[in-house]
Amino acid sequence: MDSKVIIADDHSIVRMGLSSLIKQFNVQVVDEVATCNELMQALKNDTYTHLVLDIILPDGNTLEIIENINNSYPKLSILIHSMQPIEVYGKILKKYQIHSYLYKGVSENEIKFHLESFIKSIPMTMSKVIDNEINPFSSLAVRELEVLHYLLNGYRTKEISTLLGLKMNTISTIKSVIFDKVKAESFTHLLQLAHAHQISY
Amino acid sequence: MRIKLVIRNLFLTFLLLLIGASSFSQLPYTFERLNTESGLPTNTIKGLQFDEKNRFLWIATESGIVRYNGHNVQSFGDQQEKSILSNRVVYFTIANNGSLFGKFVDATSFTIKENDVIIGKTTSIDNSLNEFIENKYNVKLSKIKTIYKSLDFKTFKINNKILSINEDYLLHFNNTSLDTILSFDSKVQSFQIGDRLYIIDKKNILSEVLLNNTANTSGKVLVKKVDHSDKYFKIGIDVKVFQDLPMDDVFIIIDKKLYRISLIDNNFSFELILDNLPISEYYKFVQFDKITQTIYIGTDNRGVLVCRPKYFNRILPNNAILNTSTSAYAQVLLKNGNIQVNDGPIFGSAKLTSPIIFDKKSETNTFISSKKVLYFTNEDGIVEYDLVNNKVLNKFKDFTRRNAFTEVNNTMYAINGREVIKKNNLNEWISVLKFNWVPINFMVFDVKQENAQELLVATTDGLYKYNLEKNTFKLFFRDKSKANFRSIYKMDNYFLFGTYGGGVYMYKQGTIKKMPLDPNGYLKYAHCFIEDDEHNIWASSNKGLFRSPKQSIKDFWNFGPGKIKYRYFGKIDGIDVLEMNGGCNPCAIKLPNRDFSIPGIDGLIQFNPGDLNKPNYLNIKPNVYLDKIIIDEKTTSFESFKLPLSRKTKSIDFQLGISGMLSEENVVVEYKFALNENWKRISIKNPNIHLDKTSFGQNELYLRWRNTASDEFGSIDYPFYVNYPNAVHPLMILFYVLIIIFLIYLYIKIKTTIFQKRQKELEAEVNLKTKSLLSLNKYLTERNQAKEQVLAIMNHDVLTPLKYLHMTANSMSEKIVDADLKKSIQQIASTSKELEYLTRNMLNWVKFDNTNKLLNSQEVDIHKLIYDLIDFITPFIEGKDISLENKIPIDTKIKNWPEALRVLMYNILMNAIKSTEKGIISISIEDSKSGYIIKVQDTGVGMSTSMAKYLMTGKSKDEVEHLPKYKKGNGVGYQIIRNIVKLMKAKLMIESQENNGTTVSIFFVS
Repeated sequence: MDSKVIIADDHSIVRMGLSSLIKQFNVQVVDEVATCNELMQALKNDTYTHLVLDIILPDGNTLEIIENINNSYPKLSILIHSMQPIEVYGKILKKYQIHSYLYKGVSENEIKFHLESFIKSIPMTMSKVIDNEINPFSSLAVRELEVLHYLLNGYRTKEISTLLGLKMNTISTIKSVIFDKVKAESFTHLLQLAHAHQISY
Repeated sequence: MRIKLVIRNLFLTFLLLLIGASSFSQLPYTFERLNTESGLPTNTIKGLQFDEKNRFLWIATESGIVRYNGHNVQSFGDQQEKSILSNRVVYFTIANNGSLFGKFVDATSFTIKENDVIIGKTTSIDNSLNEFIENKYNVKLSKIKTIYKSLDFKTFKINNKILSINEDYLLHFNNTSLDTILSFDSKVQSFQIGDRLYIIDKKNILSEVLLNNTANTSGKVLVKKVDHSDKYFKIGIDVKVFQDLPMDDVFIIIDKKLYRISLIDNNFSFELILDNLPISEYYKFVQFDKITQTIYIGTDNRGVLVCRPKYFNRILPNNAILNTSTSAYAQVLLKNGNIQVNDGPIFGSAKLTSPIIFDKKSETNTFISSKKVLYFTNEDGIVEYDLVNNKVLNKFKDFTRRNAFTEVNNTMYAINGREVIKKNNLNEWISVLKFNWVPINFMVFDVKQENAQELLVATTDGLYKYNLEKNTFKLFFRDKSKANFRSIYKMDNYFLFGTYGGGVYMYKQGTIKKMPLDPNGYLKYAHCFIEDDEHNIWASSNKGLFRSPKQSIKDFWNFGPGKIKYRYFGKIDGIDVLEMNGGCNPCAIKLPNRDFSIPGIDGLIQFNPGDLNKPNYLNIKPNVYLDKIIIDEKTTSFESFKLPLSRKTKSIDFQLGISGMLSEENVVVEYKFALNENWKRISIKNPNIHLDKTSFGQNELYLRWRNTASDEFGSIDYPFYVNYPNAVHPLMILFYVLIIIFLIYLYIKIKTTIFQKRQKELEAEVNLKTKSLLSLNKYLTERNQAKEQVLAIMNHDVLTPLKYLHMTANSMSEKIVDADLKKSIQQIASTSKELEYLTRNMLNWVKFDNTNKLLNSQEVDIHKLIYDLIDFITPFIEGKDISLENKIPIDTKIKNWPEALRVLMYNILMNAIKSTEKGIISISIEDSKSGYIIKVQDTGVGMSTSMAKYLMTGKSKDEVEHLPKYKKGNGVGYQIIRNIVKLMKAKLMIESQENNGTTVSIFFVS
């Protein structure tokens, strides 16, 4: 079966760049989506062999849908392609049996190399640009990373509870845990820490 | 002639047998006259009373009353309110109850109260006799018209009858009448013994007035001549009778003799008190001090004659010749009882001949050994004289210096100014120790054995000790004034040392103590010591003699100074010449009759110490009275003194009266104004206390005194109060304290109010500032958050798309055939790469510019990091002929900060790429002494030294000589480099030559 790739990224130029690169590997169909909803709809409408997936999409964190995708499309190969540091998300993604992670910050050659390996289903390891970097955010759990994403984007507790369908008290507790784990003294400090440790949002 | 003498002696014997009384002279008397030179207002005496109780002699004169206390005459007329005391006294007598009273010529009466004259009422002079009787016998007489011829009242109280003999008649005072009961032929003198009244008429006939016969039938009082009265009083001899009260002694002066008469078994006894009264005197009053045996005689015009027993005899040489001194030193008793002194003169009145001992002038040190051999020194050397056989035994001419002798275990020793000598078994004097050095004029005065090994030696240089066993002669003690030690006296287990100028020292078993001096310092020059039979120690000085109980001296040793009992003997005791001699041996000697003989500057002073023990001086208790108080030079009454004194009081003078009739040397008076003060001595001659600068409030004058013969003090306190000035009155001080407290309270209150106000203002200001800061903080926080979000956006929404834009453009350009379009697309790719670089650097600049400290360093694979970087920047060398060489060995691990190192090396490499069009850019690593160096070397255009310096420091851009050709960037690259190097505490070094490439080195410390 020919490879059929779908790219989920919020930047069209990124999708375009990836698409052109992937097409160099003799892939005929490269579809693009920009949001989680569009992705779920595309996956529902068509059958893809490969998914290049950014973590942060305009309508949410892909962690919220990754489990669903895994369950619904077990044959779908997924490459996480993100600016988020691998040490933060790597362990979590492994839980979802996702072993391909391509950091956007690596060199163009490396991007090409890893994309080719992914498309050709050559086993690859998660690219690591920074070895053993101490990153306080790597200790956060899935739900905490979800809440962190909204916090960094300026959402309030009530809004987050609505978006995630959780109680406000739960969100407050998770917020406290995040602040404790990353040793943030204030929201501004949390932003600075996020910037210092390459957490994009 | 001889018959006449026998008859006279028989007559005298008969007379003595007849009157059955002894008539003898007691002691010789000395005479002192109190007259105007002594302080009497006049020499005319109008009355004389000795107050036995208070021990003052009161002298009524023609010009007032004065008081005598044994050494000082005190008058009272100088006090304004007592000016009357300067008036002539009519009479002055003693009442039956012992009180003294009298009357002035203006009929003002007076009495004596302790130390003072109390002015009484003024009555008619006509009533004087009545008053006299009333005061004398404490009776009240009805108004009786008195008839008297003179104011010389003589009254008696016999069998409760009051009688008066006035001139030549005898009066009897009844309650209502005054009867003349007897007239005499002439003016008579009278006296009373018991209930018997005697008169002596002008013919010196002694008769008894037979008062008991007044009740006989005739009613006439008879006078009966006393048998043999003519034996007592010869016609033509001036007889004067003195008696104040019936119980008083009756004194009679006949010629120059003073008798005390008494009636024993109806026979008169005549006791001769003294027999050398000055003649041609008009004696009017006689007073007698029973303790001291002193007689005071008031004269009509020659003041008061004070007659004191003379206990001391001055003996002069009986062979005095011209150019021979009467001064006496070492004495030797001769066989005949006379005394020869070392210079040769012989003192004494013994007529029997006796061998003389000192045939030429000899030194003052002599010594009598246990074998009765007298040792002395003269120009013949040491002379040994056998006192038993009265002959010279030996003369040792080698030793002519003044030797002080002593005997130790039957061996004679002598010490002179040069050596210690002793007598050996061959009966020769030999030197045993010659002194290496002694002071100039060194002399030895006395030597006494202290113990078996040591001799005490009194010298001109102090007290020395000669050790018999060690044969050493060493100074033991020297007086501060370097006074000569002149005599050593052994007193039981103690030694007394007399010095010339340094007082008396006491010594026992290696300890020496200076004894307190007498207040006058007479004992500063102490000569001889001698003990009497009653265990008193006598000491001679340059100004008289001192006697102190031995126990009192021992008490000083044990309990300290303060209460040494002593009695001083001087002029008034009969010592004619007070200066005694010393520095001789023997000094004082005891004669066979127990008399003492003490060498003096002018003869020998001899006396019987037993005689001087008879007057019980301990019975004399002096008293101290406040005579006068002078405040600021104005006499103040005692009543006023008891009231609070003016606060302006500057000084107070207390004039004291000291009673006792003791010599001034035998009274000690001390005072102080506060209990915790030390006692200060008062001059007895001028017993005034001057208090300057009186203290405000309660004051007190404390006085204490004692007879030096006793250790018991009398004392009295005089409290007085000086008003406080208003400014320092305790109440004012309290007021000041309250004012100060109030002011402090007010100050605190005002300060508190000010502070509270200020606090409120500050609080408002702080609130305002806080609000402003909160607002600013909120603003800054928002700005910060916005900045962080902008950075996040730039990272996520600009940097990443730019990268993919480059990738997309590159990919597209490969497919496009149209040259112009292809070039445009390639331009887009190139620009997007430039923008990516610029954006990344902008983000890095912001990131590291805001960072103060890097996180913990960690192990970094530098080869891989450079490898990835070269891969990363490869797109930037497109179109250039550049080769990037990673010369760092594979698996090279360093300790560093990977993120920061990556940015640092990225910028250095990017700068190298920019400055290099072709050639090689190599990256290498080297070890250094303290770490390692990462070097980036290019073959580019290079730069000037000033440019390199500017890039290294970021300073002095204006000094850069030539801007580099590749100047394409905006300067952010090197700013990021410098920031990171600084954070890493590394060192940046740029070595470059224009057109010859650049080497950038980063020095890291391990």
